[in-house]
Amino acid sequence: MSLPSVLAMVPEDSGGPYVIAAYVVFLTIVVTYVAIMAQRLGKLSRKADEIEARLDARDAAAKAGSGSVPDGSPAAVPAEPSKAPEGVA
Amino acid sequence: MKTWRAILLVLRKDLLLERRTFELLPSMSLLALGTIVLMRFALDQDEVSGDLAAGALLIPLLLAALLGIARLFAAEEDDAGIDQYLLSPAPAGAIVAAKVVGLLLILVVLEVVLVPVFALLLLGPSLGPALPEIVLVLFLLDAALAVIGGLVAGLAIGSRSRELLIPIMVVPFALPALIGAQAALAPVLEADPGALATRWPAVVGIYAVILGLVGSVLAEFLVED
Amino acid sequence: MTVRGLRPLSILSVALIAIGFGLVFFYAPLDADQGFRQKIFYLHVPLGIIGLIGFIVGGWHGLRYLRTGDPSHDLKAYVYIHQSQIVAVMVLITGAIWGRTAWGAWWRWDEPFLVSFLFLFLIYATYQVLRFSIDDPQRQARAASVFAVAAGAFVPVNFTVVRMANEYLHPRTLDNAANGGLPGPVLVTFLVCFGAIAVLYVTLVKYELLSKSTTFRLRALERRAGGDDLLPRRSAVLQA
Repeated sequence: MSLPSVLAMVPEDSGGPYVIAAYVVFLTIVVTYVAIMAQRLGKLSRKADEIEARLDARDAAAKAGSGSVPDGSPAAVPAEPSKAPEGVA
Repeated sequence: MKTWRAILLVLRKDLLLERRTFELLPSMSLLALGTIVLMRFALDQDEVSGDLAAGALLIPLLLAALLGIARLFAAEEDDAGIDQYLLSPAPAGAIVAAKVVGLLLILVVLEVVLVPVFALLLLGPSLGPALPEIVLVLFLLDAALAVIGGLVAGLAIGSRSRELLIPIMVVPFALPALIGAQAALAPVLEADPGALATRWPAVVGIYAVILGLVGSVLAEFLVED
Repeated sequence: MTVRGLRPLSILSVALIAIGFGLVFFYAPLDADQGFRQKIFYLHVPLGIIGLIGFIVGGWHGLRYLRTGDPSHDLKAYVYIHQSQIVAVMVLITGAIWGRTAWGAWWRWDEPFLVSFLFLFLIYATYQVLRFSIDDPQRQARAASVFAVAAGAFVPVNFTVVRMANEYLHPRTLDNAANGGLPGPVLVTFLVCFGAIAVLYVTLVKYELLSKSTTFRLRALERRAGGDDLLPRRSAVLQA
């Protein structure tokens, strides 16, 4: 069923356009929200994957390079992501 | 330390401070008086009764209460008093309870001054016949505002924007109490005073009790270190 | 934090919304009284109910945070409240549109459901203001949780008081639902729409949780990098 034929069924006197508008507003808000979130999320997780890969490479290189890591070198930083409490910001 | 004793000690300290500095009550009274004057011109009525009278009395009270709530933890905020309080053996929630009782007392004293002034300046019908009902409703409203004030001011303790936060949080929390107080006061402030419908003071009272119960569970988390 | 089942949930919500809206426009009968405008009911009412449940679930997570101190509960409280804020805006918009079609006015004060939602909107609008004006993370989480619990307790009280005030001032006849229940097709459509909105809500909650946990993962990686210049556009990422 095409859009014009659906719209033709909508009775004018009973607030038809307004009802349609309400559903359109709802769908627009949801779709816009999801689109924005998806874009941000994609960017964030790509970035995180990239950084993680580089970090793994760095740590592996440090381990292979010397048996005993000198203090203050990057590999001396705890490799485990800390579980510190996070703000929501 | 017993909770009651801690509440009494903090309350005594606050009341003593208010008696010595005498800054909160005059400021609240002035703001309320100013708002009554504002009401006279906003409504463009020489005297009001019924619905308008209830509104013209409640709004000045609410604004004055906002002023009091914003200053509720002022003494503690100024010299890290909260930290010192937490070092004492008193239970953490007791300070919030003391603030609630203190605010309730201040609001009652404010109304003792304000209601006669309101009757003199703006109220059409005479105050006498409806006085017991007005006292009852205002006391219940004060209790609700005091509990809300303790909760909101406690929430805002560590906040950078206390003076923004407190009014915008108090007003919506006060709405149900205000609905009840308005509906209770409107008929008794009529020129021909109607009977007080018991359900409305009950709404305000029950609201105060519910918030009080919720608040008493939450109070300890408000000031915890 | 793991966020499971996001993909099936997303597909399910799209499917349910398509079915539900299809039923609204092609299956549900025209209301004898209100005609076409009654169809907004299938959107407005489920949104309202789900929004309320979300606020209460947020309060429950706030309580769990206060009990356990587990930051994931604070995070969940934040996400539920945030999603319900969005839903509350949609409830107010759809309600205003319904009012415009039914009474010719965008806003009427004798509609207790809408007025209650306005109160809730006013209360919950202060949540982020409170939260982000507190710098200390633990104090922030605790204040936000106390607020979530207090506001969650406010939800039912608020509805009772507003409804009471309204019944007193504007006595009116029994609602449709009390008049022998909804007719079958209307009920079916309503339930499908309710389910669709509920699944959509859960999906969006999971989605936001995933987004937050990805942000946290990135921060943890930052700490692990320990200032090494592995991240050329690091600041740009965190601002995004």
